Order: sequence, then structure tokens, then C-alpha cells
Amino acid sequence: MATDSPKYTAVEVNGLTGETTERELTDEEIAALPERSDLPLAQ
Amino acid sequence: MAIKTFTTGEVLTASDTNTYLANSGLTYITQGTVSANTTLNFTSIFTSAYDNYRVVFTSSANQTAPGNQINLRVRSGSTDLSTGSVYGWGRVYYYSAGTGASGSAAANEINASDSNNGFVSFSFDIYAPRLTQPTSVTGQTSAYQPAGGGPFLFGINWSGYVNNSTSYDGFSLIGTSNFSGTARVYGYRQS
Repeated sequence: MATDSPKYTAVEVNGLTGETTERELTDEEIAALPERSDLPLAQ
Repeated sequence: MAIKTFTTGEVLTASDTNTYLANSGLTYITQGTVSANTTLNFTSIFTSAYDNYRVVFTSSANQTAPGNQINLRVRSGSTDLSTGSVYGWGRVYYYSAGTGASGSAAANEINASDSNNGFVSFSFDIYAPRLTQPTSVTGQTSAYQPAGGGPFLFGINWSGYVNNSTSYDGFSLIGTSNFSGTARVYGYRQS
């Protein structure tokens, strides 16, 4: 059974126009998302 | 230094009131709200009016994926600085079972929080992002982790650095999974 890919979305706040918009991330932006680093907080 | 010093019996005029509102220690600039979104981007919010800024992020829901982090990047126009490994960050954390520290001197983001399905609120000061000099950040985070060995309440003190002299006019908060809450941005009065 096919599963849906995660949906990556951004909320944009523009200080010049005062507008707030929501959109899906581009493929480039998804590729640039930080990867979770291996950190020593308790898991 | 005070804008004006009032004397006994003096009338507080509308003009004086407006002057004080416009010259308070911290001046509200803008805010943005995410609801299970990946990123919260602020564009064109750093101006010549202020060198330094305070950002307060208030969580509205637990994060929905384990191991979720929220990271900070500066941006110019609509583009995040996401390459070059020019970010540095470090932190100390403390919770019921101990303390620890971690960080990186060559990263592509600054880590602001880390928890499993956490309820995360934080604030940070960002210094001189718009000036043509390195940008610095100091922050503090409260992260309640209900699962993943918890419940734990993490306190995190963290700092960050952008090791270049580029002028930035905004920043992004980026989750490694979706996150929810509101970030409000304030400018520090210059004098």
C-alpha cells in the first residue's frame, strides 16, 4: 500500500508587506532542511 | 536616558504618551504562527531601526514526531543561509537525571531545541544581524518531553554564531518535523 510523503510547509511573514502566507516547500528547500543531529539529550 | 522627565502635577499629553510608546525598551515588530508546519520564515524584518532583537517563541502543542529539533538560520531576502558550515553553536542542558553539553563549530544551522514529542518554548536575542559583521545569538529553552524515557523537563541555555560579515534581514525557525506555536519579534531600543 502506498504511503503519503510527508508534507513540508512554510509560514512566511513578510516585514515589508505585513502579509503572512503559507505554502509548501520547494524540492530545493526540502533538500536543505537540517538533519537531526545525534545529540546526547536523554531519549 | 529618559525621553522626558515629568514633574509633579504635569499633564501627560497624547503626544508624550505616543512618544513613550514609540520609544519603549522593547518595540514589537511582528509575529508569525505555525500550526504543524515545517518552517516559520521571517523576511525583511531587520532594519536600520535596531541593531539587536528579541524573539519569543511560545509553543501551542506538543511536537508530533520523536526526536524533534527546532533550528535557527539567518536569511537574506527569501533565502536562508543553509550552506558553508559558517554557523557555530553550543549549549548546556539540565534535567532531572543530569546535565550535559554539546555543540558544533561548523554547522549549517543553530540548534535551539531538542526533545521527543516535546512542548518547547524559547526566547533568544540576536545581535547585529543586519550589520556587516558576524551575527551572534544567545538563547534559553524550556522543553517538556513526555515520552522517550520521560517525562523530562529540559532547560537549555544555548548560543550561536554566524561566522561571516553578511547583512541579514530575517531568520527562519526550522523543525526537523512539524512544530506549532507563535514567534514574536521585538527590537531593542538603541538609545
